[in-house]
Amino acid sequence: MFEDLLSGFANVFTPIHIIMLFAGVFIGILGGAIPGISGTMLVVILLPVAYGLDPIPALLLLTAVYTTSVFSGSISAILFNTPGTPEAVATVFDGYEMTKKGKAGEALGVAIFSSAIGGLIGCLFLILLTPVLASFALNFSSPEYFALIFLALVIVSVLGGGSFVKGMIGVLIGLLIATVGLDSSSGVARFTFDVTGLRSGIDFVAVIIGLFALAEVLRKVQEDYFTKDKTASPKTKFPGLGLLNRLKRTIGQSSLLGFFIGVLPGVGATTASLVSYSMSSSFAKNSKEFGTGIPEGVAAPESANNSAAMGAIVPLLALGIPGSATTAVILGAFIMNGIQPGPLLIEQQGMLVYTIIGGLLLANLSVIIFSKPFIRIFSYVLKAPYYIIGPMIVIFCFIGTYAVRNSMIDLVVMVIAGIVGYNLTKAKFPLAPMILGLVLGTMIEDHFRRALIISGGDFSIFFTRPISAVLLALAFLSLLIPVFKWYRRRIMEKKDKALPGQ
Amino acid sequence: MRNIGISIIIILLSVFLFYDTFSIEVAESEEIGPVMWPRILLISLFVFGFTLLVQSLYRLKKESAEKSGDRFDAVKFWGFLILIILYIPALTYIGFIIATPIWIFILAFIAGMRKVLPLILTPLIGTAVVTFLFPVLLRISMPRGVGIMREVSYFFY
Repeated sequence: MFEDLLSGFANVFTPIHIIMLFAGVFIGILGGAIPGISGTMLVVILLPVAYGLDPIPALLLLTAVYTTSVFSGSISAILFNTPGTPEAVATVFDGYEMTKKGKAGEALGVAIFSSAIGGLIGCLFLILLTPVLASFALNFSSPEYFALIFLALVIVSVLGGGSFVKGMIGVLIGLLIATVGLDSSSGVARFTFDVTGLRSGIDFVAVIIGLFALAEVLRKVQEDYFTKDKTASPKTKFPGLGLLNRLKRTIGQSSLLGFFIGVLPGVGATTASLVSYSMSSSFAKNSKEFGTGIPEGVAAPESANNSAAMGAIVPLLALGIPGSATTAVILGAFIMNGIQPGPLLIEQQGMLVYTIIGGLLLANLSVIIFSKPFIRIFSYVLKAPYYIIGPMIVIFCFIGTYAVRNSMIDLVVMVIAGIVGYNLTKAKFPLAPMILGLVLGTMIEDHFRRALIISGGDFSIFFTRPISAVLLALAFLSLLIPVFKWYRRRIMEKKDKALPGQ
Repeated sequence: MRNIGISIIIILLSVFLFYDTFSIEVAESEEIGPVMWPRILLISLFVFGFTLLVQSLYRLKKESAEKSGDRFDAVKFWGFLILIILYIPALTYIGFIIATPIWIFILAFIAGMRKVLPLILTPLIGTAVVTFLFPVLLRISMPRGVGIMREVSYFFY
């Protein structure tokens, strides 16, 4: 493994690879800092670029954007009290308080350092865990795969933000969209309504671009995302040895916590940063100072969200099952390039996997090296008004969709997905479950049908094989989480009602 | 209200698509055919759609009390949406190279750009950048339009 990793790392330094990696780092840091552009959207609008490149540079570009945008959302969170990406929500609590105290430079330094260390720790666990998980998954047959994807989809509905019912509806819609077109086993057309363009299925890239990017533009163009007259560009101050010593426990714990939260499907870096902030503020010695502008309050969410971003890549590479919405889009990029991630990927395309991992290591290191000089540029970029960004994103959406299959039907699908996505987000539907359902739809159906063919139509095959039974039991157990949440809410409501009468 | 509308659409959609599964040709020998999976999904979708409808009706009173604080700018929303829809036929007939600067210009205007110089420069620079990046550098073929528009596009990519 070590040799593979070294050769993968060396491969990163091929000119085209390193150019794409640094382009990704630059776009990720710059784009992620702009409020209103999430890391997912950045990856989505770069899909057409990835389509025009070879697989390795394309995936290096997208993963570098993904990694660095998680960090850069903290810049506007600290300087302007506006998280650049959702992952930086928790960074606002103490980051902006530090800015108000005149410690913006220190807060940025802590954010950069914690993000890079969190990302590197996450990367190390990624290197260690991916091959183990992949070799374990080699024992998997169709029933186990079905159970695993079922578990992933249930968890993303339960924990993906929003209500469980809405999450499940999202998953089911995603799975249904994946059934449109000619059935891969029997060749029979399903839900095509005699439209020739639908026989080859609905392109998931079109749906993803519509749901995420176009819907977001329709929403954001109505808001004022113009950072007016905010010219703050403080000098970044990296933490000294004393401060590092003080933060090492917070960074270490949050990175570990973040990584394992990130591995769970659908529970991405945003949840990791919030959970980690709340854990640190509950258990730290100076817990009462959290929220008043202390470095620990920046270090905890920043190390957790970057580590979680790495965690989300583990199931993607080892099992072919993405851990978050952004990694689902990256899975789409893999498939677009004719690569199917899964347990055999490391064995068959070890160079590709380890080059990507090497790229991730380097991207995390780049955060330390490049962020400092970039922060001065941010003060200009952050002033870019949405009336420039919005129209350009629209054009990127069209190019991205059209590039994949040169199909006008795909453009229609993308626009419909945009309108649907806009309405669903307005109704507080989480989009990640739908994306995961869509991306994993063909896979789960294939394994479901294969498993039933093996058993001769007997559904007990899913419950009699140990791994599959355990995974399904976990899925059904996780269904209890909304019940617990509902029960807790009822008790709280009863308490609230009881209080005034006392 | 939006939730009620969405849940009704979901229920109707699941019923309609379930009905449509009967038109899918299935060979009699196929026990696990192409219909079983979509039907399982549609039945589940109906159940969850119905649950959402019940939940939404139950919460209707609460929702009407807590009025949504979201801003809705009709001009920007409908302006963007209509232009986005019209961009599809524009790409087909006018072609990418001519339609794009026009659309960026109108979109930017609707979004709030009012200064003349940026209104002229943004569409030109924007189109130049995306044309250079995608059709020229990455060789991604974009629609050329018809007639004279098609001929014009050959000057650029």
